Amino acid sequence: MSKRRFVSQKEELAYPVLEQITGGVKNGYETKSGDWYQMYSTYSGAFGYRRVWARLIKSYQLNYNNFAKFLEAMPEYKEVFEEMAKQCEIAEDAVNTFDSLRIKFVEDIKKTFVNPNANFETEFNVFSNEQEEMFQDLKANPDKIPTLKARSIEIQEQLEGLPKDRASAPLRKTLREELDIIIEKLKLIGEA
Amino acid sequence: MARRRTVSKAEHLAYEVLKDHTTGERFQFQAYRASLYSIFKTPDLYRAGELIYSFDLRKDEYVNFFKLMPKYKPILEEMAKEADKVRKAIERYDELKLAFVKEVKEQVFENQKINFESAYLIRTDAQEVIYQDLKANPDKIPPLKARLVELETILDGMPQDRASAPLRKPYKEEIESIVEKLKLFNEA
Repeated sequence: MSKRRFVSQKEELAYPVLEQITGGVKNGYETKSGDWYQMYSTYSGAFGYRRVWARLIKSYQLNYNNFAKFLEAMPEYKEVFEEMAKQCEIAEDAVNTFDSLRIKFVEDIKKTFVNPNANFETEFNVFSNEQEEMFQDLKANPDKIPTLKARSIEIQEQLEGLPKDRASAPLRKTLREELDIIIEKLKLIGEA
Repeated sequence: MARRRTVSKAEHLAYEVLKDHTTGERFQFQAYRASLYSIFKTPDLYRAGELIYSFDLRKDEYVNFFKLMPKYKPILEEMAKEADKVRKAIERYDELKLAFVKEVKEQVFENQKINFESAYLIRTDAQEVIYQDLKANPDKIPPLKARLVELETILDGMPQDRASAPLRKPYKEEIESIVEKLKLFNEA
């Protein structure tokens, strides 16, 4: 069986939230900016030709080209276009704020992940409270890891050197238990 | 050459504005509402999330998330607030656009069911006056047609030599004037 990655309980709870507001697990929970034109587009043909059904109206555009000519001939529509431009501006500003908040949130929450660059589509185990404690301890004190690795090698060597008879079974048991604990710790941070 | 339809200046200017805000002349200038669900889609249709609204934050996944990580509640609430603004503004924009397009079609377009891709001529101010007059008084059209036939009969009966050219000229001018009027209504 392939090695499963570990995630914290918080990370597990963050996944469904991120699934809705980002590109989801398939796309590494990436985000992208809002696109006005996507809301008014259809696609057709083998190459996905895009047709846009509504351009964003900016207030200043009302004074130029087609708008200016149209509003000069039919000034009664000026008010409605000004209102449409205003609503576009509100929507655009709100989308930009939403985007920046979202980017901040996603970046922030990813920093708390066990591995922010993991392939999130892979299966995972969730830390128990005890494991979470060990993980946080090792994360806060990474210098403990080489010591644990060295101890693991030492125990393995000791175990190999021990006779396999019944008399040495209790000692082997103690060493095996210690080895299991070390391996479990190292697994939590993907080092075993 | 195929006969071209004529449109008012206002209709021509409306086409220019509507083409960027509707389905355009090919699809009868239909206006659509936005698909808010698609706002974070890319052209290759990869969807990078969606807007979250206040009611989303009451779903189990958010409630559980906030229990363990309450510090993220304000930022998600702020996002939901902004998303509400987006939704309201776009709904209002769509509403105004739909009403505007409907009104322009009813008030400015002469015929909403024609092929808008067909070529057209824009009426001059003088033509517009004639057009509006004939449109308001359609009973003037049959007498014009009758006068046209009458003038053509007179002309046919006249000698075609150079000496009688000055006599024919006023009749020809009247015919041209009538034909121009009738053409505006596709009646000549």
